[in-house]
Amino acid sequence: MRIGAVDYITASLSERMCAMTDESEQRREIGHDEYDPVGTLALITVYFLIIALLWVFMYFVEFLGNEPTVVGTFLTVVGLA
Amino acid sequence: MTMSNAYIDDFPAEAKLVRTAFYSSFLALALGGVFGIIQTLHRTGYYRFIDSADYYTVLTAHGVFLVISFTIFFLVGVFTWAITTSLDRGVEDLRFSWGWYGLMATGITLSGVAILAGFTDATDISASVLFTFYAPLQAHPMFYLGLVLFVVGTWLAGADWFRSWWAWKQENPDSRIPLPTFMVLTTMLMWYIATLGVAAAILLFLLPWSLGLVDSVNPLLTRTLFWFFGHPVVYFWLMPAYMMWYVLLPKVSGGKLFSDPLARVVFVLFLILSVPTGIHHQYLDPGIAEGFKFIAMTNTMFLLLPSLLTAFTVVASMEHGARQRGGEGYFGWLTALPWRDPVFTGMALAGLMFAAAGFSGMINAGMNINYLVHNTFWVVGHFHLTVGTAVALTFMAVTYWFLPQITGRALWSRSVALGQVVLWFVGMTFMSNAMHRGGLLGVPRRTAEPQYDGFEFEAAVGSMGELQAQIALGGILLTLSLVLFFANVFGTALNGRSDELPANEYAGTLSGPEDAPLVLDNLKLWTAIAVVLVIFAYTFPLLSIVDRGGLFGPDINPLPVSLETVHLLAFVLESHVTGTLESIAWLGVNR
Repeated sequence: MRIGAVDYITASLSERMCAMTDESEQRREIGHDEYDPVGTLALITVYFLIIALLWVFMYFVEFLGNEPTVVGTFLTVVGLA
Repeated sequence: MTMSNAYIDDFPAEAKLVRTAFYSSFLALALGGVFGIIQTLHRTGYYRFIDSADYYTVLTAHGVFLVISFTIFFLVGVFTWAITTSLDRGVEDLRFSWGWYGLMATGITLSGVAILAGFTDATDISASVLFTFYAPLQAHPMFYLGLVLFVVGTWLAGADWFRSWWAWKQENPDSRIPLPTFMVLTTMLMWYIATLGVAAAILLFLLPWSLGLVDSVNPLLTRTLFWFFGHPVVYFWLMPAYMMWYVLLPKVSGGKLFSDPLARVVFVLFLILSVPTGIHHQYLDPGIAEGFKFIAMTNTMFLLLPSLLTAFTVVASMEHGARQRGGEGYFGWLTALPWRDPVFTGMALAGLMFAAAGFSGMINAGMNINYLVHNTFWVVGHFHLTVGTAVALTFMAVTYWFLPQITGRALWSRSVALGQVVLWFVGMTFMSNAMHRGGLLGVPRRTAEPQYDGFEFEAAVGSMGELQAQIALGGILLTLSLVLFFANVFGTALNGRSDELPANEYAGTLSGPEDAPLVLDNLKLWTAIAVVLVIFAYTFPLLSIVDRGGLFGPDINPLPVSLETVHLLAFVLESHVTGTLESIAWLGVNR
């Protein structure tokens, strides 16, 4: 059952009880259609940026930081450089 | 008559079963924790009071008690709660339920005694084979037999939950499967497929070998069968934690689950993809062709999908709660979350650690990068973020919600509980971060004394001493955190019966099951797809392993780990290594 802000006022008591989650702290009811999770988008964007940067950093830590571990022309050259 | 509407009021008999499962789980957590701090202090060299040969017995006990008994006893408790609560019916036959619990308890006791007997010379029983029990390490038959009984117990538990669902379906033919029940059923289907591997490894090979019925085994075959089970078992630990993030976390955040359909998709993906990935633990095993490893890697990368879907859905559900509590802005809503509630904070911190674990997991999963961290301390750092925090911290946090529900007593102290979950997070930050960095320097895992004469690990940033200190400090903080946890469990058990407990309810949904396509509930279809993927991923590798090494392998010598064999092995290794070094030096001189 979805209850929007307007519906909420006119909803029956049992519907309201059902929609309520944490009664003591809740200041407003946000229904399916009004809810836009922009904060989630922001957090996940930050996470993706961190992961992408770590992925780039990994190249320096794992490959350039060590002796060549895979024998091959290209990598050997990189490792010696 | 009581006033409250807690789980114990509605299901007193089931509450007793859940309580017993939880207490069994906590006993294992206590034992595993003790062995954890012993090995932390031993490995880092701060305090060594055991013989280094006994380190492997300690390590086996730490691993098996924590990742088999702690996690799985907790799982059966949570799943029994989930089935009975979401179907609103008691178990079908209480004696059957106690039967599977008894079988699990008997099994893990046998395995546990076999492991602990390794500390004494009074018997020749030992099982210092580590959690992975690779051949040629050989345990006493009691260890393998105990594991078999334990796993059969979990199979029967699954049958119990399916039986409840079938009975419920007769009475509610047109209803969607309630979400918690759906999660239990898909997880158990995955578990049935996964445990076939370990059942085959033990019953066909390792147990007969340990009993002396067959002379040898094919180590690569038993390893591969182990990892057939060994990777999906991590999702078996994780799925109850995921369930808590989906059905409890939104509620304690003050909101609702963002999407029931997405939650179902995630559990279906885990059912399909968990098993055909095990070979990614064997990237360095000779004898498995690169192509098969590549297939395992591809499947593994697909497994990131359900975890990233979970990150989105769970965070969006938390945000919904925060905004209903008055939160605003792109990041400001985070401050509106109930950070003083240990149930919420524990789960949120566990989720944060899991996000970090996602990165180290991607490194492990990549075939070429894995070569650089394989068998190093990095891997230990990784799984202390996943099972050691995402799972364990979630379990401890939800314990503070469950204890009143299953004991009928108010929680002893919310402040201690809050301190406990934060302390765990801080301790694990120190320990796991240092383990990851140690792994990058090449520090090996599964090693009692990772120091070598004439060789120093060189850190580009910091030093080995600093890493060791962080690991020891982290281990001590984690141990303190455990002490606080048990204080709360005991304190709660000693409290009087309360009749003002919160009701036994889980989160509502913004987008409910009516929005989920019906096909998601078609468990037969998803099981069939899972089986087909397993056949694709494993048939050829297994055939080629058997073709090359035989079903029972080339003749290998079992390795009961006793002091004599360790000394003998050390001598053989030493002379071999010295010989190799000498020949290398000779080559160098003569080049």
